[in-house]
Amino acid sequence: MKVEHVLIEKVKRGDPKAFQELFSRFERDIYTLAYRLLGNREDAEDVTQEVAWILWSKIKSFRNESSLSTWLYRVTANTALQVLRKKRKIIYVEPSAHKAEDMHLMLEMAVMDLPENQRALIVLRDIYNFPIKEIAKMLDISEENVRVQLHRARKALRKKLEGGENGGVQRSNGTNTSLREGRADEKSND
Amino acid sequence: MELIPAYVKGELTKNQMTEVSSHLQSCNSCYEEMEKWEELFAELRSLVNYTHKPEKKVAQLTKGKVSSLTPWIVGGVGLGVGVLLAAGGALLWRKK
Repeated sequence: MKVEHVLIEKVKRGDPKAFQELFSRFERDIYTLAYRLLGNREDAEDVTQEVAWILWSKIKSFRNESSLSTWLYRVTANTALQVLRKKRKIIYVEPSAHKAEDMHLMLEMAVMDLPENQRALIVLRDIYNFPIKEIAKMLDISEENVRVQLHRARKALRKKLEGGENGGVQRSNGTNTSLREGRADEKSND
Repeated sequence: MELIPAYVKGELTKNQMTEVSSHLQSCNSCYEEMEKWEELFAELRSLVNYTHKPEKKVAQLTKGKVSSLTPWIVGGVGLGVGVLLAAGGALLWRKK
């Protein structure tokens, strides 16, 4: 039996030490996904804490049908998207403490600099590989709408990367745009 | 050209996949475009392993919530005991 499974069983029996150990294995991943969706560290920490509580209180409903990381990613994405829906405010992407020294950081900064709706699609589909059907459910839009908006988001990201834009402290434009506002039947001009 | 990113991600219908696939065999610029998208998608997927550390140790916050109550409880009990002792002392002093 894998260590993770042993820990899960212990947590199901209410062992707080096992919970600490289990959660610490995923804490960075959860926080990072939340940060990528929300665009600021404080909200991402709140979501991470919320997910910790969900893990602690709902672990009994986890049936090992998917991996725990998949389950946690799903819970994190849904929790972060709920926060986004509630807030619907202009988000300023925080400046990174580091210089854009490597590919990962450059790419991440470009993703973070996308408008909120495009960022969510790139993060969920192209980074975390959620199926389109599931993303449509999460965002409460049609699958066709996901495809159309995803296409635009990918092009916007390519443009940023090729144009040498690397995000950073720039203000995200269009962050008030609801995902529901994009129309699936709208044809792209390009 | 427009369908290439969705083709690379396997998001097209069977017919579209076949059409794009045969087009790629004869079109160099589209093939190059496909390679660029493949590279970008691989880089994006690799971000899964590029994680950030939260400033607060969140896993301990669950514990911290409990422990943060402790000073209040200790303080409250201490204050109560203090008040009782003072009242008792005052009563004794009056009796004397």
